[in-house]
Amino acid sequence: MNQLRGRKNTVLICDDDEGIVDITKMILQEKGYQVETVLNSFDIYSKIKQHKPDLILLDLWMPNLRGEEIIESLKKDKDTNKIPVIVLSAYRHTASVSRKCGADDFITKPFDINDLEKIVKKYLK
Amino acid sequence: MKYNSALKTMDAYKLITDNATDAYFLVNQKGRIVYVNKSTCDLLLFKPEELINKNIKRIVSELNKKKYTGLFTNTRQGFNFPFETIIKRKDEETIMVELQTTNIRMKDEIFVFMSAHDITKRKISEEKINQLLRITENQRRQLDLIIDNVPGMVWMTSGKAVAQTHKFVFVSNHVEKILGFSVSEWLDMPNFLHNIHHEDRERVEKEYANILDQKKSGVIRFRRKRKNSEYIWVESHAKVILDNQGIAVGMCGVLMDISKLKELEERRDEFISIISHELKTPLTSIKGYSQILERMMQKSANSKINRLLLKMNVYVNKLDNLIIDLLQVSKMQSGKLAFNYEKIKFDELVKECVNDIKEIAIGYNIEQHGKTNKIVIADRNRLEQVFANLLANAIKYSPNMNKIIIKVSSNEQHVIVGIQDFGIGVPPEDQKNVFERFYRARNTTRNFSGLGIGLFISSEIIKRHGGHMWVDSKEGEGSTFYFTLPIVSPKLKLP
Repeated sequence: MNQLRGRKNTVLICDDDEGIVDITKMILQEKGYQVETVLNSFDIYSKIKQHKPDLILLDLWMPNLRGEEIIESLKKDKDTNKIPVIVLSAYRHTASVSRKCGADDFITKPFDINDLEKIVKKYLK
Repeated sequence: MKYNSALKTMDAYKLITDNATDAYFLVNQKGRIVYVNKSTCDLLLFKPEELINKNIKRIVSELNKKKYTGLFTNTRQGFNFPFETIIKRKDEETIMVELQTTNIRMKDEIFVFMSAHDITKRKISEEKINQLLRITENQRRQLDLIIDNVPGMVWMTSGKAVAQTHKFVFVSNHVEKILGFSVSEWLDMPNFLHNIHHEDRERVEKEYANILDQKKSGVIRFRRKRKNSEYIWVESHAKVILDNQGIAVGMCGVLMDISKLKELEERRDEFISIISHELKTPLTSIKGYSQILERMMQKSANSKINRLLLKMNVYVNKLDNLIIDLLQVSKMQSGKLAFNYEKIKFDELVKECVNDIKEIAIGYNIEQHGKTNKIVIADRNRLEQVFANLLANAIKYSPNMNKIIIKVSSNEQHVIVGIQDFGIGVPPEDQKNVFERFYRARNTTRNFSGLGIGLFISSEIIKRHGGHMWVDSKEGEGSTFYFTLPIVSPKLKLP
């Protein structure tokens, strides 16, 4: 729908590691996505409200709010529960935690940038 | 006639006394010996004339003269009792005797009749027995001391082949410290498997049964309930006790409190988990930036930079794999590594694994010999990991050779894989340890990098599949690492 209006798909990246945010941003911008970033998990809700992203890439293990708590609350809220959330984490239990909290998909760090592109494309056709 | 019969009576008494085995002698009030029988002379090596009319002190040991004199006085006053004393032979050797003294009144004179029974032999054996008893007692005390100071509960059970029927017959005082029960409370418990956590009980029972069946020893970890109802982790070292016919009649061992160790293990796992997360985060950035650079450079077609970037990526992946291995070791240790089993055509799996390694092992001649046509139940990814690890080792430890042979065969129960290299080999003294965690053979530590966990992980994976892994190697000539996997029927359905 967004694309029909000529607007680029927006991806919101939430990770406390600047390098990862930088890389993901670079790769996805290259692919033509609008990219918004948030380093502090506290700010994620206001960013979502502000940018209405089409996809969220989210780290699990962050200071302050934990990723799984964010996903659970996003999936409960009817304004946000349609937004696909992909977990991006180096946590050893990434797969099981992602499934449990209702994330749509996950990718483990360190990831291959080709895999990142593929998984984003899968949710933003 | 009268005289004659009296004489005959006298002769008869002499005959009797001379044939008696005990020594008889008569002492008058002055302490002089007036009569000795034959046994007295035999016992003391004197001739009769050497004793007659001599003071009794002649044969009483110096040591006992005083005691003897006293008793002699008592006897004279009418006492009559046996006592043990030492007498002296002609050659000054001493003899232990039991001496019986009796007052005899003949006409107006009082004599002391003495009968001495040689108890030297009895005394010697008594002394030996006492000595043995003292030694035994000392040893028992020492053992008690040792057992009480073992930092664990020493135990012994009695029972036949089935573990459930075993009962504790001994438990050291330490039971109170570990489990809160007194020794008698513990020995009163209905059977030897009581108070084990219900989640562990079946496994523990099986493991004890295995120890009894195989007549061997073993170490079992499980949770046991203390008197205050709290559960603690314990480690039980058990060994079977066999009777003369080789039949299992019980077990003995030590049970230790390992809750602290368990706590440490959990903290270590948590620590490794955090470390791996913290290492992976910057690694993600390194990998990402290098991949982005690689892409940019592909467009510029600078072949040298591209080659360097490609190499960089290889090392980044290596680092990633090391971190993954580290995590796997800690998971394996705590038994948390999950396996996804499926039916696999074994030959196909081997082919895939060999092809994968061939792509990386450029310049190596990897030959495959043999075929199995068998099916195994296995976790495909984990088995690939085993192949990759063994092949990577074969390459790594044969720096000057380029040939590797993969031998595949099967018997009725197993498929057997051997991966042979012609490299540095494993020294004999290291061969049984190379499958241990963090162990590295002596000839590798200086010239080859590594953590010593690849073979540990591989052999654990094979163990979990019901197979086993071993090495056949000669230093300087190369190694063959073998493993087996159980074969299953193609008709078998997975649950």
